[in-house]
Amino acid sequence: MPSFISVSHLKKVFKQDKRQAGLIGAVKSLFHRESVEKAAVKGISFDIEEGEFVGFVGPNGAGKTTTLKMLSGILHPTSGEVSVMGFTPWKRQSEFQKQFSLVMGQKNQMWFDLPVEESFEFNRAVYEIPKDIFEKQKNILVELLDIGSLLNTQVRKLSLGERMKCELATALLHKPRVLFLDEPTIGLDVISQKNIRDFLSEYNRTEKATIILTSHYMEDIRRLCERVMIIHHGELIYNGSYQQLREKYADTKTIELVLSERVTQDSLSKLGTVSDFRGTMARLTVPRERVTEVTTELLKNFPVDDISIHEESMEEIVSEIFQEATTK
Amino acid sequence: MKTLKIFLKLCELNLKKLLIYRASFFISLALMGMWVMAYVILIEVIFYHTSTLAGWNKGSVLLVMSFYYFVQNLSDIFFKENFEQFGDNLRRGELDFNIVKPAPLRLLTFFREIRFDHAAGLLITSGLFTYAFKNLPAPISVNHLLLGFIFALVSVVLYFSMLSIISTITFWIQKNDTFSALIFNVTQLSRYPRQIYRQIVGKILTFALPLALLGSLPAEVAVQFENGSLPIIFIGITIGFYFLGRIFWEYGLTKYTSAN
Repeated sequence: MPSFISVSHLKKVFKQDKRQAGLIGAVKSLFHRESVEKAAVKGISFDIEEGEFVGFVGPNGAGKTTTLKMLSGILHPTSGEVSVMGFTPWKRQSEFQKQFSLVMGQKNQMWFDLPVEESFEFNRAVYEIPKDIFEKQKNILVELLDIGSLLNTQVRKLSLGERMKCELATALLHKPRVLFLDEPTIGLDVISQKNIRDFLSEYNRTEKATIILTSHYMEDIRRLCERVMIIHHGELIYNGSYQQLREKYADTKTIELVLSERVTQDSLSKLGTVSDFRGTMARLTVPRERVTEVTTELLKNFPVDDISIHEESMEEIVSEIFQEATTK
Repeated sequence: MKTLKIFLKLCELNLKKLLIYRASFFISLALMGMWVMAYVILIEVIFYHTSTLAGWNKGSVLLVMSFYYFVQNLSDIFFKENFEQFGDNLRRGELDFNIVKPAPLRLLTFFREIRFDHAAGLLITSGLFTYAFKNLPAPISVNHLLLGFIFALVSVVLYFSMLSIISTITFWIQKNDTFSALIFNVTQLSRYPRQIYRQIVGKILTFALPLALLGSLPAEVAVQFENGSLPIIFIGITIGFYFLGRIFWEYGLTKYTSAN
């Protein structure tokens, strides 16, 4: 049985015109224009099952958004195959389009000059949502996102966080089975980010919706996604669970110490790599398997006032992977 | 049916927008009034020196002009601004949200901004029609006038299809303002009876790029001008352009590159 979302050898090449800077460059380009081909996505393959919440991670220009745009039918691929719920996205069949939604953090699909409710009504007409189902779903979303007071406010008067909540509600009125989210928390403050995350988690749980999320905030990925896909220079360099990612790449832990008396840096260096040292405060990086042994040693032989052990952050892990991939 | 529902919803939302920005209704009224007045004066000057123009009397020429402005009014209200903004929207990747929606894409793209403030032009055009009727040597029947308006709607479809074809080229060349401006300017040729264009230019503007027919043909139908099977040919040309525009648009869409 084919996967809910199946991507095979997907590739997208863009043609870009090259032009020298300045007036002379502009005049030259009138007569002769060089163009180069840039592969934004280089033949990636993956499968996603129904109900999965997958994080798509990568630096700027890695190919995340291009991939999402091909999965949603906005872009035609250069080669490769994609099946989403059994449909080929770029054929843009109505039955397919009624079953998914796309939300982009940097773009607005609502009617800028009109109250939020009008955008809801417009989508009701476009997606042919029966009135009773529309009202029920609207009420659920309004409550979950706490946007009741915003429905009669003009979209252009909303804050970024409020707008994103309303964008999500607009995109979910037709109860999509698949949700493509491109940086939905970009530019939001920490409270708004948390609100959006809580909502997405709840939506995934209650509606069993399949969600693909791209984000620069690793916190989004860590808190929401069971599976992480890491894309770099158009290639998929990791595809697996968050836990496996940590086990595979985070082979060290950090021990933070607060001491009652000054000790020497040399004495601590024998136990691990000292990444920070200020006399009575220190940070040690030690291999994961030696954490218990080193902690015991520290408590036994050093004047420890406070001790804490930290996992490597997701940002550090991903940064390591990118560096590794770049140097290959 | 669904297309009609979405179109009506677009009309409703844009009407609500108009109520927010109502000043532009009066600005539009003044601008359109000045344009029409200038051309009426020109016609008055021409007919001061002659009694007919390419076989047309003053009232009929004014009727051609009235139908031309009627077609222009409808395009100004419903889609002209969307075509003007299309290049910029394409470069900014604004088509993304339209492409993913289960609705006719050209409807969402070219009827998103409906300018009901430009409906002010219809008031001026109705005044022009009244002035044309007063100058006709004999009154025209209601049935023929109605037929004239039906052909004016066919002209609107033809005009839309031609603009759609021109706009689709933007998928390849990214910036297409010059072509669109050219079409807007060439369309002004249909302000006068098609018979004033002779030989090869007349043939081109009647059959190949039938812009000369936009205002002329509805007027010919209304005044029962002897033109053989031209109305049937005109409908055929419109259907041809409509489907050509649609197929070309679908092909152009495969070249869409969006924007980050």
